[in-house]
Amino acid sequence: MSGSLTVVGTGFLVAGQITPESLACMRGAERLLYLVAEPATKHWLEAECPGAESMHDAFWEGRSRLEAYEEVVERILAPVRAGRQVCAAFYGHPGVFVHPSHEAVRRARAEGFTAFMLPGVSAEDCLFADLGVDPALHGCQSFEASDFVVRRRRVDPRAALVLWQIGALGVTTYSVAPLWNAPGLALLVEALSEIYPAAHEVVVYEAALYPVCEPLVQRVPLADIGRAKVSTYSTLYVPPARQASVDEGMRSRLGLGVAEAEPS
Amino acid sequence: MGSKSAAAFISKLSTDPAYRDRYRKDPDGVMKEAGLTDEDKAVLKSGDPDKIRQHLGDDSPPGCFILFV
Repeated sequence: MSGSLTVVGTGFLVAGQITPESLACMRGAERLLYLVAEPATKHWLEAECPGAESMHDAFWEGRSRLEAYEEVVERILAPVRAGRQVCAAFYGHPGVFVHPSHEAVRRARAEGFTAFMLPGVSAEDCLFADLGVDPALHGCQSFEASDFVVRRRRVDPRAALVLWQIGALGVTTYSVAPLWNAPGLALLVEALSEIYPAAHEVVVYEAALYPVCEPLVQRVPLADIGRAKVSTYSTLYVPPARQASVDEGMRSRLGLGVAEAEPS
Repeated sequence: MGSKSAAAFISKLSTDPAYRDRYRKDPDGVMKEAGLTDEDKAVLKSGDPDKIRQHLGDDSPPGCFILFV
C-alpha cells in the first residue's frame, strides 16, 4: 500500500476542539506525529493513539526555526515514503500560521502521495468567540506582527486588525523564554501609533489552554501594550477606530436603497 | 513525569460541558470524586496555565511552538 498524509489540527483546550473527522483520521493512522502546545494534549493524544510521536525535540534554544521546520517536514514524510498511512497533528488550525504542515502536504503531493489537510480551530477563531466580535461586521485584517512592522503594511483603521505572534517580533530562532523580544513590542506600538490614537483601546489576547482557565483578555490603551503580559501565545486585536462611510452611489447602483443606521 | 490523573481529568473536562459545569459549581467535590491529589487540586484551582503546564510535567520547551516564519 502506498503512503499517505493527513494533517489535522487539535485546536486549543486539550481534546475539546478537535473535529470528529480529524479524530477519526488520527485514530485510523498507522503513524501519528504531533506538535502540541502543552502536556495535557500530549497525554490525551498518546492515550488515543498509542505510539504517537512528539516532534518537540526538533526545537531547542537558539535553533533556527526554519531549520526546525525542515526537520519536522522530513520526519513527517519519512514514514509516508515508507508506505505508511500518516497523520500529523498540530495545535490550533494546522494551516493557519503553521509552515511545516503546508510544506509537508506540498512535498508529499509532489512526490505522488495522497496528502490533504483538515481544518481546525485557530487562535483567531477563539478570539472572535471570546471577545464577541464578528469579522464580518466591519471587516478584519490579519497579519503576522513582524511582517506588519517590516513591510509597513497599510491597514484600514475602519476595519478590525489582528496581529499574530506579537511576542516574537523579529525573532527567527526558537527560544524557551515566554516573551522573545520585548523591544520589538515598542516598535510595534510605534508603527500602530502612526495609524491609531495612542489612547485607542486594544486587546492582548490568549486563548484558554485549559478548561479550568479563562482566556487572557487584557484591554489596554495602544500606548500601554508594553505594560500588558505578552507571551508567544499572545495575539493583538485592534478594534476599528471609526466607522466606514457608505458610498450612496454604490448603494444605489446595487439597488440597496437608502442606508439605514448601521450597528456600531 | 507529571500528574497523569490531572491530565486525564482536564481532558475529560475539555470534552464534557456538563462535567465542566459540575466542576465550576463544585470544584472540590468533583476533583475529590476524580481521585486527584491535594496538590492537583490546588494547582487546577489556581487557574494559572503556567502552573498547570508545569504540574502536568511539561517536558517540551516552555516557550510556545511558533510554527510560522
